Amino acid sequence: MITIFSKKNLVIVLTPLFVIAAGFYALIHGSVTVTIPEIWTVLTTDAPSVHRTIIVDLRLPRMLIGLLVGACLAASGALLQGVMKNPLADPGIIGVTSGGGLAAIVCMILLPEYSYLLPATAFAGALITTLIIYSLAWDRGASPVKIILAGVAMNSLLGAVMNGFMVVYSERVQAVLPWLAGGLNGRSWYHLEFIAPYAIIGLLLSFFAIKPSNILLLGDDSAKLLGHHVELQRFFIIILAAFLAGTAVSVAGLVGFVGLVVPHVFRLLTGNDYRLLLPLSIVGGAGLVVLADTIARSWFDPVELPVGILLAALGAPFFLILLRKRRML
Amino acid sequence: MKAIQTKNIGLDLGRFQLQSVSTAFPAEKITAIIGPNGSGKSTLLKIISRLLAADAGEVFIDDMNVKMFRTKEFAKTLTMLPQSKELLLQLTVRELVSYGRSPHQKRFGYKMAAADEEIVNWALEITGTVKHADRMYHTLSGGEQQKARIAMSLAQKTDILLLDEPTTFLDIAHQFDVLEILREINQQYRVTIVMVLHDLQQAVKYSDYLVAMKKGNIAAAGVPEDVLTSAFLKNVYDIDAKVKYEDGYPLIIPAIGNVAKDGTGG
Repeated sequence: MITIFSKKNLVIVLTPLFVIAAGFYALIHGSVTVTIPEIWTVLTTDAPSVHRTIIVDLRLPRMLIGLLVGACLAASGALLQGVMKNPLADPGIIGVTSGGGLAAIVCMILLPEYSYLLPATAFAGALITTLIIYSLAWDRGASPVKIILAGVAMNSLLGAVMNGFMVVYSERVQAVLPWLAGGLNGRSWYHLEFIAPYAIIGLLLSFFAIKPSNILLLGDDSAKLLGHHVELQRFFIIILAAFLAGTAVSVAGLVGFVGLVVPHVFRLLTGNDYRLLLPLSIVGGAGLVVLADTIARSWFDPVELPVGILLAALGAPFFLILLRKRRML
Repeated sequence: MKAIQTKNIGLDLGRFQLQSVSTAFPAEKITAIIGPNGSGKSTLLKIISRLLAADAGEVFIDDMNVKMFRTKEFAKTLTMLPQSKELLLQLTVRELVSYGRSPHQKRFGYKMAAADEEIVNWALEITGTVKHADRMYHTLSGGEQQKARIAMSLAQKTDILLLDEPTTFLDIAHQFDVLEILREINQQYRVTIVMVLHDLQQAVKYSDYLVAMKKGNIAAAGVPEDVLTSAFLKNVYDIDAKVKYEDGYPLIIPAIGNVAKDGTGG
């Protein structure tokens, strides 16, 4: 069945088009509509104008952050689903959500005057939690099942601590809630500068994980017999996934579902060969977050929804429809 | 010449133990390991191939302790075909077989050298899977999948190939197909083959050497025709049966009604 118009090729062509369209939509659409020629004028001249403020100071950095956040989350999910041999794995499973979340809450509640440290704190919390989960699961090797179990235990423990903080300091919870819901409201060049280096390094490194990810899918035994250091490769891929998701979470808060749904959708569409799955997930995830964020900030005027809420609300039913149609878990 | 030698291998897995297993597998021959379920056949293969670490004892390949091999070097020397499990990765047969070249390639390399390509073609050719080379692996029948997996192992170009029940779950035509392929690989390319088989008749017919295990010990070893006797069947499998040869093919004929009801395996 080799045709130019195969489903696979269609997906390969449409996905990049989708991210470009989502990017333009994010620049154009909002409480003030800016046309493409106007965007061009803003980007090619220096003259100050209202449009300039809207595009350069607000929408452009937010769009770029959305791209990176989506790309990182989707790449993280894609890597984890492979390395855990579990299509339902997502960055939450290795503690990125609970660890990053707890660190963020502690930072915001106990040290509100240092709120500019929030991204760094959340990032560190996510990575440290992943390391703890991994070492808890270690016993002459860390099998995916043990990692998942250790992750579940660790998540519920950290979740309890998080809830404890929110109850004890209930008067300060208000400041934390938007971050917990996950959103890009008010994110600007400062945040972009924070995540861009990590995001780009992480995404570049993820391409080195393509071959090991495929080999691990052959099964641990087969991978070992082919001369691969299975435990080492799994460790690096998990840390890389935590790094990617931690980067996204640090700036965008707890945006869920992208890491779970995006790789899963592409797996259903094109199969689980990481040479395709990883790049498509990165591009698709970037487009999805930008599109969802644009919708979340503009369609519910005057309220601006956190993008995390919209993604979960739309993603869940979409995901279920897909599963029922394909019966492929 | 001995290709593989185990010295006092011991492993305690709780439900079952290997007790000081010392045996040897001849080079450039086909050896079949037989024995009841739970006698430690697969475990022994896994220890030899370093998938499992033994509690005690040593494994030598050509007088070199397997612990001394670097991971990649080991994968160029010895490989194993584990019992077939569902393969998660969706690949064409050719792509799967190409993975067999990975111990010979650079870690992150994607390009296959012409020499690698040639070996992949050879492996596809000799296993008869070349006609499916561009089909997706998961769309093949069980028998064709097994041949494709064998092709992947062959593409590793190791001196030693271990196989854990390579014919289990295959129909009889594919069983003989697989055994004939293994014999050809052994005779033409001098690959040392050690395989766990459950069919004793096939084991005798297709091996040069037989190792029998029982309860984590070696029960017998030697030339197949010498090992497979009525007394052996009684001793190892606890069954009463006659052994006959017809046109050079061994036949095991159980004494009807006397087949032990309690079995021997676990």
